[in-house]
Amino acid sequence: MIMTGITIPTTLDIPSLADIVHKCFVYARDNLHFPQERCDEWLSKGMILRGYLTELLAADFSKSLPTEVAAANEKLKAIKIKIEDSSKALANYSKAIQDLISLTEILTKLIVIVHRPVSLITEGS
Amino acid sequence: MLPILLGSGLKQALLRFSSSRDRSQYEAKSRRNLRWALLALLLLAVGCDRQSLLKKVNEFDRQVNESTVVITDYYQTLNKQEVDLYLLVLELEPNCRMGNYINYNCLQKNWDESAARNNFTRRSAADPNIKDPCEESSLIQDRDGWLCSPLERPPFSEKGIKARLNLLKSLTEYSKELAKLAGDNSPSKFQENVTTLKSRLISLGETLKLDSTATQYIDPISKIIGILGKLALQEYQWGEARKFIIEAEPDINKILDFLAQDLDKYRGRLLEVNTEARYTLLMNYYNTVRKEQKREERSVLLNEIRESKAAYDLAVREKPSKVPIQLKDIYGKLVKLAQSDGAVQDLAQLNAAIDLFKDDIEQLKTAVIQLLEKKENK
Repeated sequence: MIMTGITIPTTLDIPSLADIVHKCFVYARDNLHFPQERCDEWLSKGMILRGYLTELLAADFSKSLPTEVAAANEKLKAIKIKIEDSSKALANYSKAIQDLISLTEILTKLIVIVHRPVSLITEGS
Repeated sequence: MLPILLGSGLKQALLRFSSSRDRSQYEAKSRRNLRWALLALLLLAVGCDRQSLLKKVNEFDRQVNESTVVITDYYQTLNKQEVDLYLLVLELEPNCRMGNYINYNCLQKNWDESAARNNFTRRSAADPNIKDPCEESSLIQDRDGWLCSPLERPPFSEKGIKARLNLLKSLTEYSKELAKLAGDNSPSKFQENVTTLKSRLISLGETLKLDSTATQYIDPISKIIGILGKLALQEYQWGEARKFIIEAEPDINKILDFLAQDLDKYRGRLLEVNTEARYTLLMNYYNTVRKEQKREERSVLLNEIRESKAAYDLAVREKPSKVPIQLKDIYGKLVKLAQSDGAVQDLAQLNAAIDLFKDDIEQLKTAVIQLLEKKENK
């Protein structure tokens, strides 16, 4: 991202991830469509993803990230579209939760990438 | 001078008319007086421009100082807010066990902590790639939602926070020295101020070189040092101070652009997410305990929920990035004022931008107290 000559060292799609976390919290407060135990589950998934978001942001805050992260962003975007579709989340709750679980898997892989020592990034690329 | 000249012109006219002397002699003199009056008016206007600019440079310095206090608060509370949220979860949910690790699945009443723990330890024993979530550079493959507690390891590095605070310091030093340059008429003091600012910026540049995230600030700072170097060689002239304001603009803009983007990314959105998490956690807790509580207890809890919702709305509405964006706007108008000859409209625009900024910075100060400092006292 370039803005009048300054480069922000990121390739992470933070806004998409933050949107997904927001959606989890919205569903956790939705007492019209979800019983309490499902609201609990949305809340717990939202809190886990929020923890991952913080960890990825914190890694990005301290160092430039490798470009491999951009590939994972595509998957992140696809899941965001699914989660944001309220009608699908309501109609197929288990599938929506499954999507969130697969998202946490993608994010753990992202964390692997951002924490990888520089020597391994050079060797791998 | 102008009122005296105008006054004498009027007096002369009255005398001439009352004594009915030669009219052409009077007209020639009154034209001369008018020329003097216009010249005086022009000198007065130029003096006004310079005085206005000096005042505005001082005002810019004050605004930079106020802004950096607010922005510093936003950066310095990054880790503290993580700890606050973690402790709130423990406070609300006895199902969540305290330790070096946290798994927010504990917010589900039917979650089996010991099964999840055994699953993680069994898998990590079998797969050397599954490492401890608290290990900063581990090749973690899958953690089943286990995270390192922010009490055990604060997520945001002190080095990264310090780099940003150093950048803010460079801005305040720049504006402070600029105010000195604009306010001092002695050539020796001017040279001294330029040299001081230059050496401060060089030392800041050296500090930033040590930090990989801070390397992008070095370029604009080096350019400002270059401008100062040229200025130090010249004798004091008001024009040179104006030139300094104008030449430093692109680099000051780069620093302010960086800060705006950085605040949006690391602070603005995270603050939104964290305040929403707090609001949702409290609401969820209320729903869980409401039937066992007395009316007074529910009332206390509902008040807390109302406050947390107000904090969330505030975080959505008040973006810290607007501080550097507005400072950039003000600096741009200051440059325009420094460049212009007839500065009346430029001065008006600058004043309008400053007034807007004053309102916004007050709102942000309130937001800081409500969103960040309030929780510190809890």
